[in-house]
Amino acid sequence: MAIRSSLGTFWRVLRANPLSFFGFLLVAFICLVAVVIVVAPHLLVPYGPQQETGAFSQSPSWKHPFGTDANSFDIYSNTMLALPLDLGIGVVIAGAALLAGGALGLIAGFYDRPGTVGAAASVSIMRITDIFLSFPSLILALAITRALGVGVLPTVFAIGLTWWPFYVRLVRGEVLAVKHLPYVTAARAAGVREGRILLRHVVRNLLEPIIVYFTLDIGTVLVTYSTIGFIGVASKYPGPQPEWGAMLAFYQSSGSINAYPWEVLAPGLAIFVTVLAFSLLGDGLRDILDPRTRRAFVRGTVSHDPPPERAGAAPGSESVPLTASGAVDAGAVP
Amino acid sequence: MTAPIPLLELIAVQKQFPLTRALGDVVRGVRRRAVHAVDGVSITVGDGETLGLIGESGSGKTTLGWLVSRIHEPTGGRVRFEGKDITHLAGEELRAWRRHVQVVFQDPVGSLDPRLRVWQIVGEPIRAQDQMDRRNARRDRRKIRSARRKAKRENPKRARAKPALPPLPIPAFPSIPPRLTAQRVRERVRAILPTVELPPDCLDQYPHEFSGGGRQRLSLARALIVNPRLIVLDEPTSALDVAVQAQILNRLIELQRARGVAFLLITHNVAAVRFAADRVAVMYLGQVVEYGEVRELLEHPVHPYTKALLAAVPQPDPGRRKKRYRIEGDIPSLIDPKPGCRFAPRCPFVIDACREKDPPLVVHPKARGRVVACIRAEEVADVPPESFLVAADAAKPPTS
Repeated sequence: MAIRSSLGTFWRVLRANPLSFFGFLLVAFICLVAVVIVVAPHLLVPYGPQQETGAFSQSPSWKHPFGTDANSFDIYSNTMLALPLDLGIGVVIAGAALLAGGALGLIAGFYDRPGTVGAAASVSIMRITDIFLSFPSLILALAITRALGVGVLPTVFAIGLTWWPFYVRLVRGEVLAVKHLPYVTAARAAGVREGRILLRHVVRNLLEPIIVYFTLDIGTVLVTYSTIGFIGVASKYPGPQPEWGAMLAFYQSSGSINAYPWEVLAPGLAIFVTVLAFSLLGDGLRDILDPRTRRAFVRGTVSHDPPPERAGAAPGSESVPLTASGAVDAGAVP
Repeated sequence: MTAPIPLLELIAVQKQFPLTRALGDVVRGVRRRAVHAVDGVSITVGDGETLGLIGESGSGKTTLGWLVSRIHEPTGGRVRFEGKDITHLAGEELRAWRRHVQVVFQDPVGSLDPRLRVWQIVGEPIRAQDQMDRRNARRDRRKIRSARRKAKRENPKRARAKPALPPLPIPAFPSIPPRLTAQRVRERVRAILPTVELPPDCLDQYPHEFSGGGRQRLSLARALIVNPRLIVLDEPTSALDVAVQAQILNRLIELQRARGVAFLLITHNVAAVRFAADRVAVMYLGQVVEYGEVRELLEHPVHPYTKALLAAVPQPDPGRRKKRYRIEGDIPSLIDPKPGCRFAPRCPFVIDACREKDPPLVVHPKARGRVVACIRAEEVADVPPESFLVAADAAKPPTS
């Protein structure tokens, strides 16, 4: 019964909201394409990153879906080859920031009893966070990139260094909201250890906003990286490893945007679709992670976008506890 | 032969919550002020009995309950449980003691984690106790092992030559109890649910799927599952409708008969106390003003505050609807209260002596087993509570 509800319900809730279902499919598709490009690029990408096709500044055609540029490079191939890098950058930076900032935020929010080591640590964490937050993060990332040198890794490092403070603030705020709720006191009164309270009750109850923020944040990281790429300090384009931001910058600065507008179309569209996919997925995850809305969706009592009977009549709904609440109420009031 | 040790004994227990000083006050060196939420309360709860604790909102009832269950640590006085001082218990010792005292919280919605299933919520106390037992067993084993090693080091020959003689004064090596599996927790939860009249097949449901009464039953099951000696019931019925209130109270009384568990019933509902309690303590602004056997106290209240409180209870009598509760005056602040009876500013029987020093809680001569904190107790004892009601037209307009 317990296992049924995790995967099966996940699927059912996802289907109940077509927009987030679309986001989920899109993210899955993007990840699949990225894996294929890494493993077997020739399946999807006809040309290499700096392979001359002989066709100079051609508009989109069947042979070159997004045209070619002044160097006769195929823009579609370059855009596709940039996907694994850009996706990886988004997930790695946001993920590292989530883990580091999240852990610090948990400590800063949970351990605040005056006079303890935890309280001293909390105060230091928050002040350092505030210092980082008081700089405009893009400028700070730019400065760090300049100091470390041009390239993908220094840029990733620089963005990561400016990214975690947001998670500290976010997680700490959530912890402060959750830690004084009656069920935390109840757990303490039952003899549950503090560390376990933190993991079982606090983390579990703030997971939902954090994960939603995280999926949305992957898109923001991508845009930031592309912005830095656009300024031209992150990746070199044209080069062996294309990157969307750098591509946009190159095609825009080559002054040909009026004559050859399709050049910026592919990388721009790629950023847009990826960010959109993660945003939609984040929205859907919020519904799935909360057991209250989750059950409501499964039972079809929440009138969301689809008609209720569609959510309830999903295949395999024989295990859906349609009368769960009614049965308990009847039992509770004999 | 001394008197039997009560299950729970509070001796002049205090809880003060310090207030943060304004920056100006810190500079001027003004003393830090404090809210005296509980101020010198002495009560006892016997084995298997129910002590009712009544009083207005803000009288410190809940704080007292949290002191008893050691969610708060008292700032003064003593708390004894089965004769053992638990006032400043901390860490593992405190966690181990918690199996004896459980709490049912006021808010049946907020006190259940919305993300956990029934078996996880109700099973949480036994899981916590199990983890503690295992930790303690491991710690004891470590201690014994190092003690044996030390004994061997100090006397290696004897340990080797005569292993049987004499037995080392080291306790037997405890075995680590087997881990409580999820399956076992589910079984125990399934077994406890019928005692609170919940269906045993709701293990995998979430608390939001239950009605208010159902959630309160879950709280109760959670408290019962470790077989505690005392359950602090903090307004267990105030969020429920009248029919469900009666069911829960009946259930509590049956459980007490069956299991011999003691209750500290905190409520502002006089009817609930009359129904379920053996003895009752009346609290006003952090102090117990009257304390005694329940029926006797509710029928012949001595302290003016108790009289006023009982007069304020609505009666199913249409003739009384025209009358109004007469207690007037301001509720004194709990921040650094002035000496003197706390009820003096609102008391119709007040004399100058009332404002001079705190009235002691003394045995009242006219009622058996009753203690009252009022210096005019004997004079006011025979004034009926109804005298606190005056006709509505005679009353002054209420001051806001």
